[in-house]
Amino acid sequence: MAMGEPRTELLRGTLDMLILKVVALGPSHGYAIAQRLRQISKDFFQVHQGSLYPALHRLEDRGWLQAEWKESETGREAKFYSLTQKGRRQMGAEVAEWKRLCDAVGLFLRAPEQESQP
Amino acid sequence: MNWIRRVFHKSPGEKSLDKELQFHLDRQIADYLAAGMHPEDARRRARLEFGTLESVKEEVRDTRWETSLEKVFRDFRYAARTLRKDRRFALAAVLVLALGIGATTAIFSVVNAALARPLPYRDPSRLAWADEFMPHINDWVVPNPEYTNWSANNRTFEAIAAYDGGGQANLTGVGEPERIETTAVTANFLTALGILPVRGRAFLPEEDRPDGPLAVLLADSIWRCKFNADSGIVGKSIELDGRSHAIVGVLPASFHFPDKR
Repeated sequence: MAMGEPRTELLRGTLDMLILKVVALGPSHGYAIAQRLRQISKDFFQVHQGSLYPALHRLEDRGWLQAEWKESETGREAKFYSLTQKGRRQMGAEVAEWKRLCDAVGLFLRAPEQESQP
Repeated sequence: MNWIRRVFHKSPGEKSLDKELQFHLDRQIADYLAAGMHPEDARRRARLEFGTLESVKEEVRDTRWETSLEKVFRDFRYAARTLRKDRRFALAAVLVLALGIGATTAIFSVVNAALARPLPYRDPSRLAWADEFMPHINDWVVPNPEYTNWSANNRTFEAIAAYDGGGQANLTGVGEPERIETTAVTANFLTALGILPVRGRAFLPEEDRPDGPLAVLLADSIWRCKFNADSGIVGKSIELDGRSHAIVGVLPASFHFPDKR
């Protein structure tokens, strides 16, 4: 992970969706979630702990994630997050919303430019 | 918010958060070591990236606080929406609340007056109430001869006093005529309750005889409203039901009898 600020400022609310999506792959602890976010995005998203853990706890409080202390792959106890039914529904809603946003922005980007700028 | 945290110092949630963040940090260090980094560098780099544990914890706590506030607001909004949508339900809820609060208040007032609040007299624990039931009039009353008999043979109490409350009389001669409430008492009544008039004196023994002089003690409210708190009131007289009564004193403002509060 790079030092300092994350390279890309995530849109507000996007981090929640990404976390839900990662956790949907299987129960995982905070460190693994951070690693996955990085790996899946090919190092594009680098989430700082100061953003990741508040988000995890917020999602847990909202009942979208549930947490459980379990033995991790190294044998040490870690807090594993998994997706709840409610969380799965929320993820579906957020993904759909995101797609609509992308489509809408895409329409603008594809619009032909009539006058070329000097 | 800091004081709240201090009150709930190191709750289970806090300890769990400590453990969770420590795990993250240790895993990061382990990964750097596995990648061949020098132990000292691995530790330093992981720490630098992580920032201070405390600031991360602060962020988490703030989030939790915000979410719990959010939840409360959501509940309020939901409640308000439900009430607005269903007028009959809202009405029923308000009615139930009103009845509940009303009933509780009423019962509390009774219990407070009857049980909780001590009698506003000297030595309330040494006061006793004696009464007699008269079947032919179906009422509780102590006839005059009975009271005289009790008083004469009393060896149990310091004093036995009687009163006849709920009386009314026409007060004339001062300003507008007025119907006022009166209570007839035996001469030793105030002494028995430990009440001293703030002006003048209590009744004399001869003043409760059937043919004795007519004397009155004024309640504080009457003294203030009808007589403008006249400081020379004692010794003057007033007309009650057309008969002149000597004013022998004024009662304390705290004394209400019968106590209707």
